Amino acid sequence: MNERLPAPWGSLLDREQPLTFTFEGERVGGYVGDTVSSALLGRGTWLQGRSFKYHRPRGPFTLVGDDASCLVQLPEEPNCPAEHIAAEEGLTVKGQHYSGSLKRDRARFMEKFSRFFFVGFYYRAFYRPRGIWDYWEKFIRRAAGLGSVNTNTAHRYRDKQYAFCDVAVVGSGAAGLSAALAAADSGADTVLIEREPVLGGGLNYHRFDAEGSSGPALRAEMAERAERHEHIRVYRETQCTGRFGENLLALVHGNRMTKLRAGRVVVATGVISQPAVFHYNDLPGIAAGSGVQRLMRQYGVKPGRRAVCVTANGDGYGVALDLADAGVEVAAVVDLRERSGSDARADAVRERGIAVHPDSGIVHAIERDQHVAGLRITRRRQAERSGAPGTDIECDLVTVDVGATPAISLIAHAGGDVSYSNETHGLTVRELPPGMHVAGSVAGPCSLRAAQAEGEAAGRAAAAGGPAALPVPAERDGPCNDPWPIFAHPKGKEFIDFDEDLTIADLRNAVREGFDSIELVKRFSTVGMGPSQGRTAAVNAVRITADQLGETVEGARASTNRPPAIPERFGHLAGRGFDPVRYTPMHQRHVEAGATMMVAGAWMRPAYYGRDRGTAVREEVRAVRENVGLIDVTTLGGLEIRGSDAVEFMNRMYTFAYRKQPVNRSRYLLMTDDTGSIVDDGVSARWADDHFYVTATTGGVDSVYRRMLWWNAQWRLDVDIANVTGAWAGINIAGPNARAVIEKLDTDIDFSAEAFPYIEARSGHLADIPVRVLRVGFVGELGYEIHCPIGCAEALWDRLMEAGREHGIQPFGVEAQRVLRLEKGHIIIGQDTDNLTHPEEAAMGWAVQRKKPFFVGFPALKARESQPLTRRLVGFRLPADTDPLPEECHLVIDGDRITGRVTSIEYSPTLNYPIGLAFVDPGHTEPGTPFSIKGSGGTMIEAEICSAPFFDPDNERQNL
Amino acid sequence: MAVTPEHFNRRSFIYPRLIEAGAEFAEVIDAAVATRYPHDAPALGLVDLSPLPRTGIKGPRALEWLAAQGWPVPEDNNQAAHTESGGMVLRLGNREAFVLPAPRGDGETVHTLEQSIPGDGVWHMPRRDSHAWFLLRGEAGVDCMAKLCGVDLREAQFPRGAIAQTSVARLNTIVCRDMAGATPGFHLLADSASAIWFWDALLDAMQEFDGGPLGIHEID
Repeated sequence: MNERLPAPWGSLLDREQPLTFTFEGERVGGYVGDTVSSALLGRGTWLQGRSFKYHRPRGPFTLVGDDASCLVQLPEEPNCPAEHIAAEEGLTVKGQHYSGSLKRDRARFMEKFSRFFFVGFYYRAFYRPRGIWDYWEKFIRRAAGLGSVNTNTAHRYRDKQYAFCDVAVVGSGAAGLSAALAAADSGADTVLIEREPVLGGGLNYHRFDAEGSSGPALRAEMAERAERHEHIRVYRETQCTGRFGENLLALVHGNRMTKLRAGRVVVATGVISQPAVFHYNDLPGIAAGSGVQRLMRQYGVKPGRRAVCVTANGDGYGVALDLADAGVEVAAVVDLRERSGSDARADAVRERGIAVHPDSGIVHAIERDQHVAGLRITRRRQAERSGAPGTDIECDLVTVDVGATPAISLIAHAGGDVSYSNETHGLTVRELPPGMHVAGSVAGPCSLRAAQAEGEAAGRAAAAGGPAALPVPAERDGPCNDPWPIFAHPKGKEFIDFDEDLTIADLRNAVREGFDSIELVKRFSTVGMGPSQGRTAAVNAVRITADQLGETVEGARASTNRPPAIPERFGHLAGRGFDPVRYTPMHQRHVEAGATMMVAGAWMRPAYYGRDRGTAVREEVRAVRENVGLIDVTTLGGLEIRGSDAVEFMNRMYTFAYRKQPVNRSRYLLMTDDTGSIVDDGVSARWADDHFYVTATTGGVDSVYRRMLWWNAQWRLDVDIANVTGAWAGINIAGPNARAVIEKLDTDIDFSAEAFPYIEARSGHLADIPVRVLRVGFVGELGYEIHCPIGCAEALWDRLMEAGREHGIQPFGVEAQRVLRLEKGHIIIGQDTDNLTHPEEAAMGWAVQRKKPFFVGFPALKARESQPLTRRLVGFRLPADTDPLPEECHLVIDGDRITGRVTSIEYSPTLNYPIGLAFVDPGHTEPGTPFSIKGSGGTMIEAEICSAPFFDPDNERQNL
Repeated sequence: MAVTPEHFNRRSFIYPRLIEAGAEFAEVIDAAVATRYPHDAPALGLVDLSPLPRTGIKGPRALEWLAAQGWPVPEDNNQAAHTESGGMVLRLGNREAFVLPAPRGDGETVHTLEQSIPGDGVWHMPRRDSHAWFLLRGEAGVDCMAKLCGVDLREAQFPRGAIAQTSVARLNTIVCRDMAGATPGFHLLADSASAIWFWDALLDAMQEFDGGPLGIHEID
C-alpha cells in the first residue's frame, strides 16, 4: 500500500479539500488537484488498465499520458487517459477492455496463446474457409475500440475561438519560460502554452542537482515573471494538438478549441521518457523516472517501498535521491553504462550508501500479484544469453531513465526534418521549418543552463522575426540516451509497443517478412498505430528495424507524424455549430397561427397551418379557389438590374424577349445554362427603361446572381446587378376576393381590373407602406404579389389579415401552393426539371424567343433541339380511388422500358382526383393516352395523359 | 402609453427577442428602438440599432456623388470615415458605400440622403432592410468576436474605422470597429433575415463575458 507524502511533496494538491470517487466500484480517496491516476496510486493501485492483445496488467509509465496504458471509462466517455482526468467528487470511473473485472481479467489467458498471435496474424486469418469471418467478426469487434461509447450521452457544449499572437511558445519548462520572457521583453505579443495546470515543466519535479534546489528556485522566479508580464498570455492545461499552415496551432483546453495564428512558434516541448525493453518490462510498478518524480513532487504519492532505479544517465541518480528523500528504500541503481561519468547526483547516491551496479543489463522482471516484484540483473554483455544467471533484486518499484525522445510532433507537422542520430542515440531535429524555433531538450539533450540560454536566444529571434536556427550542438551537455536499452529474452514478452503488445520478435519477424522500411513495418505490425501513436515505441522500433535490416540507424526516420499529436474529441473539432437560419418577417405570425414549418434552403417557411396536413391543405386550397388566401413569398429571390444596358442584359440572360416589355409590365423569366438546360425561372417587372426587378426561385437566387456577375464580368455591359433578396419581403394575396380585401387598405394604387389588369405591375403605397405589386398567377386566381421593404412586411401582413377578416381570409402554406400550381400545370424548377432538362422537354418552348441573336444556352439549345426528343413533360390523372398514390420519381414504364418518371403528384381537392406531371415517351403524349407507373412495392398503376392546366384551362380566373 | 414596436409599420427584425428581454422602447423617426433593459447595463452589451435609418449607394459614380453631397468618403476600401455628428460612411469597394447615422444622432440626415440618390450610375441599395445592424460594445468585444470570426480584430491590427467584410458565426457580415462613447465597439451588419439567429448566436458567445442586451440609452 502506497501512502501520501507530507507537504511540500504534492505541490498540486489542496489537502484542505479531500474528495472521493469510485473506481471499479470501490471508493477512492484523494484531494482536489489529484488526477484519477494519482489518486489511485496514492492508495497503491498501480493496476489501472489492461493491454490490448494479451490483457496483461498495466499501470502508468510516463504519468503524463504519453503512454496509453491507463485508459479508463467515464460514464459519458471511453478511452480517457487516467493521468489527465481530474479527480472529482462523486466521479464514477471504470477500467475497460477486460472480461470479468480489471483485477481478474479472464481474457489474460490469451497471453498463453501468444505464439499464435504472431505479427500480422490477422492478415492471414479469419478469411478461410469462406464464411469464417462471420464467426470471428463479433469477437474482433468486441475486442476493438477498447472502451464503450455511451450513445445516450447528452450533448456537451464545446466551442472554438480564434487567437493571434506574434510569438507562441509551446511548453513552459526552463527553455519555454526563457523563450516567452525573452520574446515578451522584446515587445512581442506572446502566448505561452502549457499542458499542465502549472507553469514550469520539469522545473516542478526534476532534480537537476544533488541538493534538488535549482529547479524550484528557478521556476518560482521565471513563472512569476511570466504570469505578470504584460505581453504574455498564458494558456494552462492546454494541449497543442497540431501545427497547420502558416503557423496555425490547434489548442485544446477544457471545452474549447482555440485556433491560434502565430507569427513565430518556439517549440520547447521537451522530451518523452522511453522504456527499457526487457522481459515483462510492462508490469505495473515499472515507470519512467520522471513520472515517479512527478508523482512524488506534484501529487505527494510515495510510489513504493523498495525501488530499483535503472538508468543510463545522471537523471536516474536524481530519481534515486528523490526516492530516498521520500522514504523509499532504494535497493539499487542499475546503470547500463560502464562508468557513470561526472555527475554530482551520482556522487550523492554513493555517499548515501545506495548500491550502484554499473555496466549492467536486465534479464527480466519478476511478477507477483500483477505487479513488479523484482528485477534480475546481470553483466550487460551477458543479459541476452539464454537463461542468463544474475542477481535478483526484490522491489515493488522500478524506475527507468535510459533515454528520451524529443516531443517533435509540431516540428514534424510543419515539415521539419527529424531523424536518428548516432551522436545523441535518438531522434534528432536536423532542420527546422520556416517560422519555427526550438529550445531546450526537444532540440537535443541539454543541461538546465543550456536550456535557458537556448530559450532566450529562440525567444529573441522569434520576436525579431529572424531566421530560425538550431541550437549549436556543442552546447549539448545533458543526459544521454543509451544506444541499445534492449534485452531480448528467450521467452519474449519484451515489449516495444505497449499499445499493441508488440515484442522484439514481432518487429524482427516483420522485417524478415520483407517489410524493409519503418513505414512498412508500422503498417504490417501496427507499431505506433495504437492510442499512444508510438510516443514510447518509435525509437526502439527504429533501432530494431535498422538492426534487423543490417543497416546503420544513423539518419533513419520514424514513421510520418501527422496531426493531431494526441487524440482529439469530435466535439472539439465540431465546436459550436453555426448553421444560420433565415426567418421571414412574418415568422412569428405563422407560428401564432399554428403553422407547421418546413425548411426551404436556409429559410423556414410555413408548410401548412394546423396539425393535420390533409385537412389543412384541402381547406387552404379551397380558400384560395373560393374566397381569398394569403401566402408569405418572402423567400423568393429578388434582383435589381439597373443601367443603360439593362434590357440588353436581360435579353442575354433569359430566354424570353424583353426589349419591348413595357414599363410597369411583368413578364415570365426562364433561364438556361451553357448547355441549354433550365436552371431557374421567375418574373421580371420593368420599372423604367433602365430598371428591371426580377424574381428568382428561393433555392436558385444565389446561383442566378453568381451567373449574372460572371457573365457581365465578360460582357462589361453598363448594368448594376444587386441581390436584394434580403431587403424585400413578398406577400401573395390570391382568390376571387383578393381585390376586395386589398382595396380596403389606404393606397395610391388603382387596383381595379381595368386600371391594373393581369401581368401589369405597379409601385406605390399600401397602408402607408411602400410596395411593388405584380399581378401574376402562379396559383391561377385573381392575385397580387406584393413586395415591400422587409422591415415593414409584418405590419403589411397584419393589415391584410385584418382587412380580410370579414371575408374569412386564410393564410396558406407551401403545400397548398404546390397543389394550386399543379392544378394550373405550372412547373417547379428543380422538381419538374433536372439538370439536363431543356425547354422543349419541359413543354416550355413558348418561353423561348428564337428571333433573338443570343441568350445564354441558345447555341447549345439549338443543337439539342436538332436531335429527336427523348422525353416530354406531360400532365396526367389517376382514378380518384388510387391508393396509395405513386410518389415523385416513381418510374414510367412501357413494357420492359423505362420511359420517364413522375415529377409531381398531388390529390386535387378542386378536381377530386389525383393529378401530376411526368416525363414520358415523346411519341405518346396525346391526351387520353394510358401509361403505367411503377409504384411502391412494384405495383403497376395505370395513369392517363391529360392536358394541363388541369383547372381553368382558359385562365379566366386569374384575368378577373 | 408605452411605446411598442408593433405600433409602427417598420419594426426591428428581432423585436420579439427584445420584448422577451424586457426592453423599454422609444420612438426614433419611424420605429421603436430598445432604450434600456430591466438590469444593469452589462460591460459587454449588444445593441439593436436595426430600426434606425441607414442606406447604401452603389455604382460607378456612387462615391463621387456621395462626396459631392458633403459626406466624408474614405480614401481606401474597407475603411470608414466619421461625419461631424458621429455618423459613418463605410467604403466597401470602389463603387459602393454604406452610410450609418450616429446611433443617437443624424438619422433624418441619412434618410434625406437616401431620398436624393439619383440613379443613373448612383444606385440606391436598401441597406436598412437588407442588413440588420447591431453594436457590440465592451472591452471584451475582441475576445467575444474571436469565438465567431477568424479575422484578427485586435486594435493594433484592426483600428477604429477598419472594416472587415467577413464571416461571423458563418454569416456574411460587415464588421467595423468604432468607439461607443469611451468604450470600444464593433458595428455588425448582416443579413436581416438571419437577424434573430445572429442575435442569439452573439448573446450565446457573450455569456462567458457576462454580456447581454444593451439599450440605446445605455451606450454612453
